[in-house]
Amino acid sequence: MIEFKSVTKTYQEGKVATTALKSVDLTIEANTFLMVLGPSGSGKSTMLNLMGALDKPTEGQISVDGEPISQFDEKQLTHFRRRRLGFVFQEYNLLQSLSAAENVEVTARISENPLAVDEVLEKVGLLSHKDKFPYELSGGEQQRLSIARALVKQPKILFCDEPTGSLDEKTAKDVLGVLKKLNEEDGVTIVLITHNQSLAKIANRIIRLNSGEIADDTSNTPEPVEAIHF
Amino acid sequence: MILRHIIREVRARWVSVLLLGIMIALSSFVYTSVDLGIGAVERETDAYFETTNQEDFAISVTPLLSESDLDHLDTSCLYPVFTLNGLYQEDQSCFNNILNGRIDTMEDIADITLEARLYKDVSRSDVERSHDIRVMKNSETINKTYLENGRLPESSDEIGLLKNYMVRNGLSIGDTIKISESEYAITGEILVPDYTLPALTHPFLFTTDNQSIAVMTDDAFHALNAPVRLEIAGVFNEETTDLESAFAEADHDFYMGLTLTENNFRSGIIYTEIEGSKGTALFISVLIAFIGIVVVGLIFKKLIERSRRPFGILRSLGMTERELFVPFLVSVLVFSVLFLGIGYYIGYLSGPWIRDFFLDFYLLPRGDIIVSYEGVLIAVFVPLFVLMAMSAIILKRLLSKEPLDLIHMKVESDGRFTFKTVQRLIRKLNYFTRMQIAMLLRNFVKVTVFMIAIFSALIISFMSIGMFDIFTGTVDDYYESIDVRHIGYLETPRDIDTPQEKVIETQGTINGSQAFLIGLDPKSELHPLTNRDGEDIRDDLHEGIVISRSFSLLASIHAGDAVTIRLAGTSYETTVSGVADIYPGEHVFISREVLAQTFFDDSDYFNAVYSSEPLDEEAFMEVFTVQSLIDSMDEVHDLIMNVLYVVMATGLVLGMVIVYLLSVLTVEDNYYNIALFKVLGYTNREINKIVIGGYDKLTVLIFILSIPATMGIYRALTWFIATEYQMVMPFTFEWLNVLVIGAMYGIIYVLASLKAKRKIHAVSLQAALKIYQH
Repeated sequence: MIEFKSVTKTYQEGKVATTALKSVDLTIEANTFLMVLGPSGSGKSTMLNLMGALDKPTEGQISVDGEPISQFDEKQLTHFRRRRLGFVFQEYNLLQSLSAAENVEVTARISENPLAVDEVLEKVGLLSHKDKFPYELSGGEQQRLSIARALVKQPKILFCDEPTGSLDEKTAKDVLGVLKKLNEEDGVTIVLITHNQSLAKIANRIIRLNSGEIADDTSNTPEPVEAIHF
Repeated sequence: MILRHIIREVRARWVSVLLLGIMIALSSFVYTSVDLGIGAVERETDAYFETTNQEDFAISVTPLLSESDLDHLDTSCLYPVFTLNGLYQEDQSCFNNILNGRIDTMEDIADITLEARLYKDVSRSDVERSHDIRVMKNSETINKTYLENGRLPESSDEIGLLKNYMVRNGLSIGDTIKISESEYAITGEILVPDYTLPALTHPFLFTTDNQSIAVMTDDAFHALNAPVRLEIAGVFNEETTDLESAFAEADHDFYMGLTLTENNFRSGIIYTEIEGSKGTALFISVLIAFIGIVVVGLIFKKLIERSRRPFGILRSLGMTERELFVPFLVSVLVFSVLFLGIGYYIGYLSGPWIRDFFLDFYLLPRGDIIVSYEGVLIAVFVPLFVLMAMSAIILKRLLSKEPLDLIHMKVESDGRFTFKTVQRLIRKLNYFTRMQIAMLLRNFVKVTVFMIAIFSALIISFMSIGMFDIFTGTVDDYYESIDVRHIGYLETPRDIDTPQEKVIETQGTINGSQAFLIGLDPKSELHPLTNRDGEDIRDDLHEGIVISRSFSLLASIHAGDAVTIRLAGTSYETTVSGVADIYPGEHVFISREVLAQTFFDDSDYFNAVYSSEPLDEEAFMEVFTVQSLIDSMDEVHDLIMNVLYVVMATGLVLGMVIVYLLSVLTVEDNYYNIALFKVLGYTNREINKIVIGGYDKLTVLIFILSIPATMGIYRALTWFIATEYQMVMPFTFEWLNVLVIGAMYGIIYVLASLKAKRKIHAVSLQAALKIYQH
């Protein structure tokens, strides 16, 4: 369970202070597929960074499964990410000089109880491409590889930052299908941020952010991935 | 606006830019200073040798009277003497007859002209420390005296000395010096072309602090109360021939050996020195320039890459490629010209210093520094052209991209083929090692430069530290190993009290190689003989001869070999019974009794005594004090050390600059990877291990490789000097040096790593990832 209590995040650049999140209160139960929507500058990425232990709030408290991560120092945050969280980014962020299997191994190596690399690649349909390098894979395959890299450590929560932003509709649906399966079959909590409203249908909870505040927070009956139209 | 952007970039990275400038300036500086300095020496040297008719070769003849000399000995010359000097002291015309007879005989062998070069070694008596003066008898055709200032001596109480010696001892023309009881007025500053290095008493002793060449009138020379010594100077008349073979074939009993000037340490090492210095300087500056240019290229590329987003924005706003290209290229031009110019100017100012430094050692006329177009072209315009061309190519490649491609950063994925090939090879290595190799391969060019630069810097450092004791250590070691402190030389043997040990010291040949024969009592208490294992081998003198390790190396003669000793026409066959672990000179030890009986027909013969106590100078023709040699060696040592410190500092600076620049660049190149590792949950320690760890291992590997490389260079140098100059410089590899160099580079590397690690810690997390795309 992720809990935000009066969380505010302000960025100071020179003499200009920008508040990206304003006193946000939020609770996300385990096994949720949460879709965070909002236009550019609404605070989506800030929220993900704070939930994902990549950044610390200026004010307020954040806890994940009871662990007060807003009070952690950098070392503790690193350790927390290492144990508990997985990340998937819009730009895949793969290591170009490593093969598909090695990219997954990068995470497996620092995990406490990792899955077998081949098993994870099988799960995302890339086992036959395990020796290929990222530049030899299509965009969808690269994104599935980045999901595999996140999954190998068996994270309780998977944070996805515009995971379909660089993909065409068909490929994007493939990727979303993988995420949905993870949520439904493996019980992984998914927090997906996007500006694409049409993706919201597949989530069971939808939050809309605007100017650093939660404008809307609704429950949703998820639809299958095939129902989405970009 | 573009210029303002460039200035801001430079300001933000001023340390790197400054170091870059230093690298550029250094390459121009090294070449210029040596080119101008050596050029000044070289120009004057050629003219000087031409005017003075420098010898083409020198012939050593036995100082003993040989059988064939009897053909030229008049009945009025039958004095009871064994040596040429003995005859000279008795009757100079008899001496001249023998000498002319030898010269005539040798001139018949080939189309050559010969002239005897007589000299006497004396000491000043008006100074506290021993000052050795080698007075040369004036030559008529070969090795003529060169006058730098003043005039040549015209009367018997006048003397001409080396300028270097006069300067170092505060002497001026008109001053007087005292030799024995006679005073001599200095009339001029002179040079003689057969001594371009003042190696008088010992090849390694070449300072002019307390030794000088001198000339006097012939009468004054003959009047000097000192033994006469000689060599025969020669020049080729028409074409050069293989004289050594011709002389060996003629097999005259007075002939001991021949040294071509180019192989003669005292007269010819200047040729190698000039070529060697120019070659070394060119090599170092090309090396620095190469490393510098590649590093400059890498950093320019980074600077330009950092500007890709602004470029993209400006291009999308309608700015042309040319409008962006020109200011950048002009900035590079200004930067390069500035630092190349600084390097050239410092080189120009250092030229006279290099020249004067050379002339501190070498006895040559002082030439002016003359700037040549060629020099400027090589030192400034060639590197400038390369830098400009390289920058233009990088800029052109970048600006030819579409504006949107410029705005979005790309993750570099070079070396795809390499990754794939290497991946198969390293599959079985552990994870971190594989990651480190992958990181190194990502930056193949940078890693290659790093390796070359560190390797070169290490070799420079090893070479300089390895030479710390090379000139003096062997001599000091030798004299410290023996208890001989004073050597008294006699022309005619007479009774000497104990504890002085009777010895024979003379020149001879062994299997055709010149040797310094020492007739030693096997029970000698003052002169022990030990082998490499430190075992006493004096008893080996009962079985045959004991040779020094240096002679063994030079003549390729080893323990157990059968050898023939030749001395003034008499031969003696024996075997090498041992090799003594001593290096200076071509020392060969033989039982005094055997030497005396075989070559002097008198088993009690001796011509010198070894003593641990001071000797009565009146009782001997000449007394040599070991301490004076050691003191002089210390001065040479100090001089050499100053040079070596400079060389060593150059190596260290080179190493430091490279390690610093490349460690900083490494972090920047891996900015994306570092951010990604951080997001994934890698600790800073693990990231350091992956990103910097490869360099750690590589540096250790290069360090290890530099050790055998240095050993190889030592061997090659020892071989080269032994082959070319018949001198053994025993470069020995000290493991202590490995520790010292290792510690120094370790500190530099750790400091640079700390800097790199601090930069790694400062890399932000997801923000860094967001600026890249595939």
